[in-house]
Amino acid sequence: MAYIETVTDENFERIVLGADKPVLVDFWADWCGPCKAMEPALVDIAEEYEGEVHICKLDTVANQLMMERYAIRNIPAFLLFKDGQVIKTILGSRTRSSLASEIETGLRAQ
Amino acid sequence: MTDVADGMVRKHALLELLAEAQAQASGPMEKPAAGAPTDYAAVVPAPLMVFSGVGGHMAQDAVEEFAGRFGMHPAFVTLIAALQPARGAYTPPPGPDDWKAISALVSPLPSEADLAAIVRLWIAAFWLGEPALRSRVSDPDIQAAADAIVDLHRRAARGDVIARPHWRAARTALDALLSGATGLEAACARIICASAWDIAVAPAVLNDIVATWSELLMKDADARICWGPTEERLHLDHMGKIRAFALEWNDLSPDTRISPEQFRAEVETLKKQSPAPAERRAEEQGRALKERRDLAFRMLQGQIGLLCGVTTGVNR
Repeated sequence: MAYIETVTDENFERIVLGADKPVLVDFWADWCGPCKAMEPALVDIAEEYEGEVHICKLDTVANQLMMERYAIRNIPAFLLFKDGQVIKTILGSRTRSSLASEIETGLRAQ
Repeated sequence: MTDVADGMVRKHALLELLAEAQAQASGPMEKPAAGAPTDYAAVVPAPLMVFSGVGGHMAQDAVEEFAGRFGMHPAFVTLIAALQPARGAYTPPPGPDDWKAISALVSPLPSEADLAAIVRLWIAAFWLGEPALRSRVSDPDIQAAADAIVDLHRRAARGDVIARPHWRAARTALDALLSGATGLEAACARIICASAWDIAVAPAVLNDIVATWSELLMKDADARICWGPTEERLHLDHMGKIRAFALEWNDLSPDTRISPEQFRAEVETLKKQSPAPAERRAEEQGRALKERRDLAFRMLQGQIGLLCGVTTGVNR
């Protein structure tokens, strides 16, 4: 099973911004039903893109700093980073295929 | 993911439980007190909560638990759960007919049935059968790209192992053709695009198929309602004028403004002059709600019928 890494305000810089390959960060919270509903899709996406895109999760309740820094107002929200820059913002619930499609659009646009 | 496709379906235990639920739902039910939420636990046997239509009970771990208990493939369980009408805290619980429909699906299953294959064949039937999604798509390129995905499902149903890159290539090919496309054709093809992954690895894909399809049907229903963005804008503009009139009246001193009775009469006259009156808005919105409910019901019944046809076919 592919690995989804948990990131925090403290390690965000190192794991996400300093990564040598694209990183998708899932901004989520335990109280958010749609975020939980997307979990299986995210696990599966992590498997599909293993080695190409690193998938991370950030708990927005415990990590307010990153939430504010990236102006996250609604969750679930997914930010795709490349070379420390946000290259794609995906807001709201998505089907597995449309999340994959948005990742690919983001990567192709680079 | 546990693959139980080669395991034995413990259908008798499940049918007993479904019969129990059906009997319970047929019996006298205490009407919940006004304002009280539906007590699902009181009317739905715990293992069947996964089919209650209540979001929280359809999570992947609940599906896995149910699948393990009854020897059913998680994809089959996910599909049945996804085809149930969505219910909330204040919605009536599943009735006898809901449980009966699930029993009708499970009854013809041989205990060694490959349920993942049944689900894969259901996707193919959804695209090719009646009423076919495929016939609504006229663009030959889109049709061919969707056919390629359905073909992967059919090959997987025959036991071929489809490598991930094949799924991905088929999905991205269709996705590229649909990029920026709107309308019914694109929406029909998007349902197949949502299915483009191995359902044995990702049973949640079934939720995506049903959700994408519901979205299409709901748009279809909304399009038949005679209250679009233009009417909404006219309505809001006119309401703005009434609000401005009321604020102006409120700002005047009582000795310089018209009496409250005259004010109310004036407001009523203004309301009647609206090119998009509030009464019609309420009426159309009520019709939209009913249309959506009816459509959702017909959609679920139709697909349960289609799935029943596939499961019965497997048993022949």
